[in-house]
Amino acid sequence: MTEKKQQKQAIFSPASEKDVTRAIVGGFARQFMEYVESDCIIIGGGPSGLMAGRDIALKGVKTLIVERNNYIGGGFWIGGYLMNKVTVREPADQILDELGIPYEKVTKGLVVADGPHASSKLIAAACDAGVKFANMTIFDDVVLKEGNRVCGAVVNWTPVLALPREITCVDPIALEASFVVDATGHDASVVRKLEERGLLKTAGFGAMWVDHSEDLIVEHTGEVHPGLIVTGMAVATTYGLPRMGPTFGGMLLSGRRGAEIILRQMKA
Amino acid sequence: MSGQVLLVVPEAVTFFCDGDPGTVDVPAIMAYVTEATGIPCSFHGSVYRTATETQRASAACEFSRARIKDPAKRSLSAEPLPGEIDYEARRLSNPHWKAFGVLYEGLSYQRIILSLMDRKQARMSRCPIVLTGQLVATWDADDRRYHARTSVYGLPHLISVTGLVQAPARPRAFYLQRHTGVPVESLATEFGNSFLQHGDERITRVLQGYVMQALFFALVGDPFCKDPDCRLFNSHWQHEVIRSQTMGGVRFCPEHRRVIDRIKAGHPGLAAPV
Repeated sequence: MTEKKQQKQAIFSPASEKDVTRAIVGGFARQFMEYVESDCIIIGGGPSGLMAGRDIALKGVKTLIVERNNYIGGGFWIGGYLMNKVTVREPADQILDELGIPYEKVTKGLVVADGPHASSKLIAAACDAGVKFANMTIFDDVVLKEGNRVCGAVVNWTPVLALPREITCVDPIALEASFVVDATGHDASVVRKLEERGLLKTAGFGAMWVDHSEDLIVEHTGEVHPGLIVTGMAVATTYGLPRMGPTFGGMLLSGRRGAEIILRQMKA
Repeated sequence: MSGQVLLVVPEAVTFFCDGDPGTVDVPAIMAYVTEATGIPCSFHGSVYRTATETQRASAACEFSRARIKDPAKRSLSAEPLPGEIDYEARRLSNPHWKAFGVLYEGLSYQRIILSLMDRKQARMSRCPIVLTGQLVATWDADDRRYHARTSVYGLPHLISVTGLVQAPARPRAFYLQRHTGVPVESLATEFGNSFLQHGDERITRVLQGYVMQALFFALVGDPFCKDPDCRLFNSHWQHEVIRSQTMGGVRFCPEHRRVIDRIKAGHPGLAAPV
């Protein structure tokens, strides 16, 4: 068989290893260069961060989500006790409808969806809206400018943290943005960094369990420091709000509330 | 409650709301109290209705400071965050506020509300009762931690509608299952009527008993009874609440029944020996 015939019968187009490498490096570099400065950096790619990112990106806001894991979606993949069913209380079921996520009604006001289906739809919605991601990237510090306003994030590769310090003395790099969102979940990593600098004091995670306290997460979502919006479970850590069950409606609505606040401030 | 006790019977029982009362039927509670005691009742809407903007702004800071962050520590928030003050300001200006879950120090909460109330109503003789949608707790010196409460009696009397659901303990099996991540809504179905839930139609009936506890606090300084079948029983478990407030014909023990009958017979009148 001639070489030409063999090529015709191959399923995939020919591409050399160097072409593949150039495509990866070039694509990454172009995007990274562009997103060294963005309108909004969201730290944390869980449900509240994805929801906030999707909503602002739909309005044309240049948005980068920084995620320390290689996968996006955070705890949205799995419900309680490693069971991949996620529960959502009304009215957050409207967001499931909006994103085309199928669900079943459990009781009055409570629905359940498949975690993988819900997560992948939410991630796709964020991507479709124009959100870009820097995954395997860990938040290291905040960028502070005039009046201690948060104007960006200092980040590093996640694997750097997993290696012995003697061989990983790798300095982080800084990304700038008009707004930073702390969507890091219980850790509230960005807020904690401001606390380390004495710029604010968090209350820690509330010790009491209260049913249906998701409303509080949404109602406390907002700007906790100039330039820094806090969403999702990071809100609970910041304000010491009570513990609650693994229902994700509060995360989705908190992300949406955070997006509304950013859009309002951008207009002002 | 034996011997001669001088009863100073309030001239009225006045009701206020702190946030959306939800499915609570306040007129039904008032009708019950008047029917039982002969004391006239009135409803005055939001307890913040007559407060000025300045008073509300000040109260927003005070409520933020009254938050309990760690039930095991007696210290409260010295420096509240701006987001907390903003939350409280929005809460006070919205009579239909529904969000709950912040745990407030009960005596501080009571004091702040008193400072915002109409002076004409903020008197023991009016027996002001605030039905709040918020959670309050008081410090227990025995085990040195805060405990959520259904009520804090005094001036005004605070009765937490949310506290009726959250404060009395539920069956032990409920907590074990919840720990595994089973949604509370599913457990509520499984455990049936063994504990009160938000929007529960039994809450109005339960509140009638708690209002009578407030009235007894005003009358004799002791709102409680040791009889687990008396509506004045100090319930710590949900099954005790349900037993004393919704089952067995809902009654008072003979001793408290006699007091109530005397109030009804003697009213209007300020004092009646027992």
